[in-house]
Amino acid sequence: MGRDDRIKYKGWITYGLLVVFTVLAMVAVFNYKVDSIGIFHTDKGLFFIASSLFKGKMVAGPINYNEGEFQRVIVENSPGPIDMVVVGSSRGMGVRKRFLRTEKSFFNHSMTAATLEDLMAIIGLYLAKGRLPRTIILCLDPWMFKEKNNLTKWQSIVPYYKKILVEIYGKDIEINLNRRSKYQELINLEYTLANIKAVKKKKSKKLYITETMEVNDFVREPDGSVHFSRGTRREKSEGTQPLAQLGVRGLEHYSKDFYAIMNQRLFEDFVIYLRKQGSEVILYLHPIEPIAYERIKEKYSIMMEIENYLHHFASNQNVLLLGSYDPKKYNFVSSDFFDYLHGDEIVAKRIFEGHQL
Amino acid sequence: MLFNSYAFIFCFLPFVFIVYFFLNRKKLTLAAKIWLTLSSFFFYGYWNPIYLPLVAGSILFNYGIGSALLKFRKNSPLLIIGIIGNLGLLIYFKYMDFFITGLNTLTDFNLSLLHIVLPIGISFFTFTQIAYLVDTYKESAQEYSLINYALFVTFFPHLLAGPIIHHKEIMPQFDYRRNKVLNYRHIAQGLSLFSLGLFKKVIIADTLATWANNGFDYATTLTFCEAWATSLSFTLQLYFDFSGYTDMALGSSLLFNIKLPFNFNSPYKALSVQDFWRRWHITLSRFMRDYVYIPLGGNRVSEPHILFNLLLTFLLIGLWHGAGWTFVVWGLLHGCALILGRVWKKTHVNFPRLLSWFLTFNFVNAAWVFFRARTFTDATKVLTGMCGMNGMVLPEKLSHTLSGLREWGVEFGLSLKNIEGDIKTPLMIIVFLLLSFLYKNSDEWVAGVRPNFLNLVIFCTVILSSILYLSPYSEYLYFRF
Repeated sequence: MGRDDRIKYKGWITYGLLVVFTVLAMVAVFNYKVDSIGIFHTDKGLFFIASSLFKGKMVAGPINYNEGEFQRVIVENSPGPIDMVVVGSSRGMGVRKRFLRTEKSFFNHSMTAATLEDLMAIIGLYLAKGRLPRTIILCLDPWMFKEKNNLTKWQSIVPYYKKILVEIYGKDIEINLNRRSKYQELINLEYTLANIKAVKKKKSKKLYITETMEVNDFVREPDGSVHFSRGTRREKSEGTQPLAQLGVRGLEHYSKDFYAIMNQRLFEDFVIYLRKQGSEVILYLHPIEPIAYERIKEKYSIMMEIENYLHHFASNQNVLLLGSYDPKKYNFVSSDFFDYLHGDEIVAKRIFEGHQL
Repeated sequence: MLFNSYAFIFCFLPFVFIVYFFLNRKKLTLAAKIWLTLSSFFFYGYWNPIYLPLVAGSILFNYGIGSALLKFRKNSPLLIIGIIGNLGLLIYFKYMDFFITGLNTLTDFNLSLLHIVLPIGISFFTFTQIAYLVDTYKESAQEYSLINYALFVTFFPHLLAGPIIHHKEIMPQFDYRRNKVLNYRHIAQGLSLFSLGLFKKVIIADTLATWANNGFDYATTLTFCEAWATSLSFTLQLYFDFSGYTDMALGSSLLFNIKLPFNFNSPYKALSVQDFWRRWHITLSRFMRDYVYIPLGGNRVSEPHILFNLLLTFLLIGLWHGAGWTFVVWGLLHGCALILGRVWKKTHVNFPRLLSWFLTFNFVNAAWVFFRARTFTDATKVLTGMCGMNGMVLPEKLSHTLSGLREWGVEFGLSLKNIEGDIKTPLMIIVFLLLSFLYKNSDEWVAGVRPNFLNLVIFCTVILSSILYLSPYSEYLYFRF
């Protein structure tokens, strides 16, 4: 290669890398600044939601904010002690204080796609504050007993998960989390597109106080429970059958490579620890839409095994277990669900009614 | 560490590259080699350091046998010990559960499975070292330095998924004086090849993976269109995934002025199954030819013996890819096709090129079904769908134009619903098929990379789109072999 060629190639490489890194830097700065779901900055909107809920108001708006961070804000800023909590995935979001017929102070901490470790992290928040709730309702999904969950939602509360592990096992635990760093979102196409969309709409963080649930947004009640957006709930009117068909695929996605119950020891040690601390533990199994359930149980008997295991564990430990993945046990029909995983108001209501908690 | 990870692209590769050439510039060539070796160990252990001692032990064992072979020339027992040692390791980690399952099926032993986690890259570094021992025995390779030997085995671009290299084609390159200084043409070509590989993996293979996975793993039944979309998606996914990985390996190696052997030469342009194996995973075919087929007698034995050797070689190729009966069937299918091709050749009847290509491609595509399916039930599901035995559903939009087909049992509606496909699915399959049939192979493309504006635009577009699209959980299909 001659001297001229060397200079040409060198220039080409320099320009190429310069362009690539300049564009990536611009994208990163844009994503950091816009940060439409509050990955890099504690969202002021979270304080708005928390303070509104504490004042007894309902807050509506999108739910795609950092839910882990939101739970932290709630626990750290709650004006008084919270005696009863629900921790679970979106399937637990519909458990409301009024269904439980309780006088205790109550908050529903359910988060989208929560894992068992998420549930523990939220209890870890209370531990850090110095007082565990007296009653803890664990809304358990079958997938919480599957190894290698995608632990993507709870990054900001990881230290609290570690904290509770230390309390349970008495030593620092090395956690190997196979998940991406939040800084990778700086140059992530999906997040860039979401931010562009947010800038276009200029209303990505539109949160507002509402008096009614009949709005086309997610509504959070003062007890932390959530009403799904009207649009989502209306899908039901298009027919539950196709939704259930779709649901089978969704459930299969969750159930892929799911052949054995994992996380068993972690779960049991967690419950035993809570009870030793004087907290009452209630296990809640939210049903699956009937058509989807029938289809999935043919292929993944593990669902039934998990339910059997939980019943066995609850009876051995003298723990109250409410609900069932099997919708027939409470006579639910397809129209009681607005999609394959989530029941309407009636589902949690019927399961909890008659129980004085 | 994955090539398609931020850690590799932004930290590991630039850092190792800078330090390596800095040390060489200071004339610390041994330190540069040690640096590259240690970096390669770090690269291997980054994901799961538990198997680092295994790789190190394997290197020490083979280096010891190799050194003894250099001392006691043509010593067959030593070579046999070396090969048994390597194969033993491979069998223990990869095939024990397969054998135990087989034994339990045939007998009443009811032995428990060991559930051994397969160390990543074991098939590749074991074969590389077997090749070294055989070459040393034949006196076509010699290595007296442990550092050089460790670098030869662990050099990170080829460590996890090949290409399978020979000592004599790689190690002299580390000693060429001109390879110890920055070569801007190699850097430009290396970066271009790496970006092309990343694009193939991230944009093409991972997109196709959705439909292939849905079809093979989740759907309970597949109609004609769904089954073809499933099999073609996988056929293309596998090619773009593995050749993309190889491009990244070759590209990152070229940055260090080391040319690794090419592994692909547009395999789906093949006109026969024999031709396909000259274009697909070339270094594996070369290994099997040189170290299995030829030692078995090659083409020097009687015709029935040749045919048997062919079948045996492809049975082993199938088993190399995985400890399962579906892989055995896949290997045997290719073996049978090669035998058929050999017998047909003797008739001196030649098919037109287009027909030869069509038959070859469809055979390869159908055989991949066994390669991908986890069970024979899954394979049957896809193949019966491809034969139209589960009916045919065409897009609703065609219901007016092709309404006559209803008489033949064709339905109209969501034609790809079981694999969650839409209009993008056939379009992308067609585009990627055309790319693999008509476009230049990577080596041809890179050889033509000149430092001009057009190539700069292509490079920047390809690398930027790939980096922005990067998913942290996407593994390479060939890692599991």
